[in-house]
Amino acid sequence: MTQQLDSPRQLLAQRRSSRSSGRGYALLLWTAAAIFVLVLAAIIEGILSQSTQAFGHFGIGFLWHTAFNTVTNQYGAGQFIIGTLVVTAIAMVIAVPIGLATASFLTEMCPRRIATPLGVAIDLIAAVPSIVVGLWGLYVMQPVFLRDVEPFMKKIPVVSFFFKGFAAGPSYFLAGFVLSIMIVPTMVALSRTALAGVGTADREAAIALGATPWQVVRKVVVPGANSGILAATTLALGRAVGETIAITLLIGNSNLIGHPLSLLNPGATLGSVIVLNFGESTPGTLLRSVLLALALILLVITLMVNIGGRMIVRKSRQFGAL
Amino acid sequence: MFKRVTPEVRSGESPRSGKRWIIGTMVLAGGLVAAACGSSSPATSSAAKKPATHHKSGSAAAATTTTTAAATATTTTTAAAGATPTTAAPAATGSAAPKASSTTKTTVKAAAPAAPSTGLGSALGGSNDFNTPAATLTGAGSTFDQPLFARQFFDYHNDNKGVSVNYASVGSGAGEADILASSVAFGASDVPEPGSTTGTGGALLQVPVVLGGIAMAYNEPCMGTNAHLTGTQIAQIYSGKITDWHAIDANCPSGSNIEPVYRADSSGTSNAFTNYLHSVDGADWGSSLVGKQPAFPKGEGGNGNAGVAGDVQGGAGTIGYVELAYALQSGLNYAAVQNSSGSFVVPNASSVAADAASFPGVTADNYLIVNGSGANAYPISTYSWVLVYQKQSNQNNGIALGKMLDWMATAGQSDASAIGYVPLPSNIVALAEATIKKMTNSAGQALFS
Repeated sequence: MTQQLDSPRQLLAQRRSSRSSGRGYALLLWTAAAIFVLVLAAIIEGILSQSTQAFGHFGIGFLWHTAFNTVTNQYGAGQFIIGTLVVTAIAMVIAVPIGLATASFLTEMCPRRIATPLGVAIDLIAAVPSIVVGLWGLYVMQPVFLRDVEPFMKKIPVVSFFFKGFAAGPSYFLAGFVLSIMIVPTMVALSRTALAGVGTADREAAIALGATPWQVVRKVVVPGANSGILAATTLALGRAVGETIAITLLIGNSNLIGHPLSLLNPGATLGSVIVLNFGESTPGTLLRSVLLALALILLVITLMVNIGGRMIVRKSRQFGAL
Repeated sequence: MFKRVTPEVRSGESPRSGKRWIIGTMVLAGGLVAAACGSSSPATSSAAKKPATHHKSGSAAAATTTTTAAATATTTTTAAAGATPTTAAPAATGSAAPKASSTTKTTVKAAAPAAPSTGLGSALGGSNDFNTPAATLTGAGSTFDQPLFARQFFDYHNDNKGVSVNYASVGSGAGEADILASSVAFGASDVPEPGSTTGTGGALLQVPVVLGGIAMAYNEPCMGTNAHLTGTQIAQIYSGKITDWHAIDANCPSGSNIEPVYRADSSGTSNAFTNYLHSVDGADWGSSLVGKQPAFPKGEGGNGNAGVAGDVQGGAGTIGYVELAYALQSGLNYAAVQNSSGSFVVPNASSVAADAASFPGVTADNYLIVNGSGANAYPISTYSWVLVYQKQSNQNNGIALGKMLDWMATAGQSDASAIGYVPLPSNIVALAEATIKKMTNSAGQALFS
């Protein structure tokens, strides 16, 4: 029987005796943290220096021009930025309500016996590699979308405005839908923690006043967890913006904004156009520089999402529950 | 406190560890099944593998076995031990030398169906022949070549255990970039570089390795299984002028949308295809739309030949251009295309060969063979090329590479016809062999006399 635990007094004595080693330990932690700051700086510097050729050649108009022609060397980022935003928006519109509803159900109504395995199952979706989700989208969801979902969307009065034209298979809509499935687990896991953090006393007070379970969720729990839900949304958004492989399989990889404007058109995102073209681009060429400029734009969008999200979260914390 | 906790944890764990056993066994069983399937499929896929087993079993004692095997297997073109009596003698005397060398030599000599017998067998069997080095060769490039290369490298490795090849099918453009940066031993591209191109390793040699047809695969039930398309129709489909299958076949109800599928990545297949469109219909397909990755005005992009085939298969009303092998493998319908003499021809070995035959003067600088003349010529065809450095910094790898390329252009061509490619015509085999003979070591001495 070896002694497993030291008493607090012994621990204190140990700590006093090893001041110097403690200092070394702190230094180690500082270094580890500093490395990551350096890595971030190096990433930004590397991409920035490589992309100057593209910005120098096309000027700031690169951001909204929509050409992509390797024969005539005309490039622009417009359609890819739009594609990224459209796909992300579709994913968020689907994932945020579903994620929030699932999280509310898990914390408020679901018996614990079911809640635990259900939570694990949702977390498991997050662990599925994105290429697998993409293939599932391609081979399972695409036929379903072609046969049932897309004709149905065309029949809904207002929504049909976004679903004009001909559906050939891959599209913004399919890519956005599959992306939403990939970010729901992030949404659920984080907002669930936030909802669970709302005090029991608040709920009991609301119930005592005669609130229905729906009213408790809507008027007490969700507002109380506002900042946590915002944080969850931000993180989900960050993941959605950067997702590449599944999107490349499902979006159709068209470098044009289709006509008529429709979510059924094939398109491209910043990530997908980079992954498709990077292997073909020779270092030092304009195309390589253009791709790195697109990467820079993607990086900036991601940073903006994260920083913006953080600022919103801090604001909402300052003012308490909105 | 601590003592009391541990036994509880243990007792709680024991049933779970029992379950782990079950899961572990299931995973193991699954793995075994997968391994069994994996090992059996290549064996069944290629028929001419039998000599290799002889080869493997008898390393030192089986000199006689090998010769007997050779006697029986001389007819098969890929025969590993296709040793003729004359070459069996040096193999016996030089038993210390790796066996692969002698077999390579004999393979090259014995099995060259289309080769005009330029005596390259003996040329490749120059001073360095008796130690064909063990080498791992890396290559990258064309997805057009991938189905063929997969077979050829497998067969070649079976015959020459010392040589193994890692080929990354990343697209012609990437293959070119890789060879120019010297990050691979050979690049593969459907579009040869201009003759003057040099990379980080100096001057490049370009060896033609395969001939193939580009099929117009489609997925539109109303078109049936034998659609007929003219070059102008294809150009107008891809330029967005024709958007309805009804305009092509009256059997289709009007409003049957056409979705053209193209290559989203830079591609030699696209280069041949757009050159074809430009040559048949310059009005609908201008020269600014010709190239490895032009800005297609309409449709959706697939990644690689496989991506286009997948998009055609999974989409609705789709049409796409893919190497014939991909259309055959995916079971896609593909159209008969009208050629320059007005007849509608489907791609197959004889129609692609007929197209190639009308371009006898092909070189790396003059490589296009689209829209050839001849009543039976399939108009969308292309050669594919392997790019290597003339100066091989590593002599052993250079020798192994040269021998393998020579095998690919001659005996290895028997793999081509089996999966929908077309064996190289004899004048192109001669071009390939003449090009391979230009390879030198770093000092500039020819590797093959």
